[in-house]
Amino acid sequence: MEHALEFREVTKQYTGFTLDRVSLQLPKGCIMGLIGENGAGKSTMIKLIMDLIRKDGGAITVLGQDSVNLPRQTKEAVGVVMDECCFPEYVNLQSANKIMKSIYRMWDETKFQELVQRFSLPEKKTVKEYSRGMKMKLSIAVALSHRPQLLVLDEATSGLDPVVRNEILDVFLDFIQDETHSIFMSSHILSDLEKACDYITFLHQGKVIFSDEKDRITEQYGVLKCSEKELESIDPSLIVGKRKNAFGAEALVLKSKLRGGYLIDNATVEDMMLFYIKEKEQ
Amino acid sequence: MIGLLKKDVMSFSGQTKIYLLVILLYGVFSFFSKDASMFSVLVSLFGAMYVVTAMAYDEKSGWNKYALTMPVSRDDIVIAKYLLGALFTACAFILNIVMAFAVAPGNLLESIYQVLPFAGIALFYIAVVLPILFKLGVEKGRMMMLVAFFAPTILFLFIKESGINLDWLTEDLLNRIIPFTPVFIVLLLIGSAWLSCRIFRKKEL
Amino acid sequence: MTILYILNIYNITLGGALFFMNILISNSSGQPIYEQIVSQIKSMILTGELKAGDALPSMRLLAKELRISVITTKRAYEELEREGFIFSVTGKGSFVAEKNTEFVKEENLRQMEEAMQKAVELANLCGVSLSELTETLRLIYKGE
Repeated sequence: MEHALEFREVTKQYTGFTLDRVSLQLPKGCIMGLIGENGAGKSTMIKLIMDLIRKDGGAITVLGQDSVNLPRQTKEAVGVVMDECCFPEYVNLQSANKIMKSIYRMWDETKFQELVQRFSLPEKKTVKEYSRGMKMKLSIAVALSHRPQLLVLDEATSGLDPVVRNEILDVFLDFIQDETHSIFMSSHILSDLEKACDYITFLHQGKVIFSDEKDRITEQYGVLKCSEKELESIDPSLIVGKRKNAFGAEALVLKSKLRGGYLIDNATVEDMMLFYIKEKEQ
Repeated sequence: MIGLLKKDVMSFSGQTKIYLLVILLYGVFSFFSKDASMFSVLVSLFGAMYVVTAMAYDEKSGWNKYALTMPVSRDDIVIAKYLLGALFTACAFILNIVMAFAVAPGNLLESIYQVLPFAGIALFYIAVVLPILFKLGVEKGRMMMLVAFFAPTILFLFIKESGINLDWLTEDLLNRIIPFTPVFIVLLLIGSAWLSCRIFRKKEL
Repeated sequence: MTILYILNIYNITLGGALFFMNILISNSSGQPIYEQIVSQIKSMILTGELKAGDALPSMRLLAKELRISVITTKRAYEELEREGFIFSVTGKGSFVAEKNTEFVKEENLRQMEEAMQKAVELANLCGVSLSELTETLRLIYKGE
């Protein structure tokens, strides 16, 4: 079974930053969350997927096709949402529909109307008058209305309030009910990713630190709370990262290997990211 | 590509409606003063500038990188702009003929000959300016655009002042060259489009 | 088999939300999510709340409604199938298997042993001897 998206040893060099041999695989029917600090290379990866910038090495396949010079048919099947709404300011719902109808062969006007109503987007206003939330909702509605098989989202929900984000998450989960559909989304809002992702790829300073099933994080890792002294007595190979406070210490540990009645909380994706980065800094 | 054109034409509604009003007013003024020349200049200028406006809207919204995620190629984006320029030049041309005819009704062919140079200049301008805009973008390209606009005039003045012998440029010779200018313009446009495609294909967005 | 099939279609076509079952997931318990699903569905089958032939929600629907990964629900269903509690028909979904009384007893025995294992571990942790443990067990049993 071919993957929906695949990166193989992809490299991109800029002065001062390098995306270094990034590899990942997104099986069809799954959602992958891409996490990482600002400047870790997430947007670069997304631009590379859509061939907006050139890579220096490696290969990317999108729905089985090489990302360089993607055939039109494949582009029809990919829905992209950028971190900003890219419609010119004079566009309103009606004109957006007209434009997209002429661009996409598979444009589904009914679906677009449905989504636009579900999102309560104003009919008469132009993009210029939209709030950030409305702009993103429009972009998402457009991305879902040409019968895509793969959704690629670059920080599509940042800057939105939790209520709106929840709505949008519902729409994504509906999308994924069809097992030929897949989603690749980069986000800072880790709580969103916790809710729905099947896979997580953690990118840090251009390198992939972790790319695996999200549940492995919760199963394998835990956040240990103990005293500083106790922390020192633990096998350092089990510790991913630690943090000390005035009243004790915390550490991300491989909980299956840790024997004894320690106080261990479930680890979240956010824990994974924060502890890892903290460790790197020290 | 049709979709891209539609998008650009749609920008006409909105603040650009003011320009339409200006044209209308000027039209009325020209009609009553029996002088179509200012009108022709204005309309042709506007037609050519419109392409620049469309590029500016695209740049501001980041449309091009979005468009490339659609079943649209880089060449499509470039060609659509040239088609837009041609479309607006054609509209300006028609408006000019109507005005010329209204001001001095008579020989239709005469009117067309009067108005044709304006269309030619507009297309020439588009051919020169578009590669600049694709390479530098609208913000950075503004300076270059002004240069391109004034360069022919400056060049002409320079030649005149420098006293270079232009005796060989007889009226007879000019009359023979002029019928070929449309061909020249078309070739220039094709060359410009080719250049723009090359520039845009390499651009990182 | 045909009768079961018709019943299941009835269940499904009434709309995705009409599964009269409650599955409650806790993020803060130490138990992996897929295990929680497995044990809850199991107990519903054992208590008869879910009858043989009942359709289970699709893995994807369950994942969506509970806001968890579809890999988790898939794992849960695979485990349930492996232990014989449900069976899957490709293209139709998963259904509760015929109740096997022997199976049920085995399952209960397994859970009892698991609980005993836990009790022993805790006893070791706080230094409780075997005789003390047995005594406590006797009292609890009697108290029932």
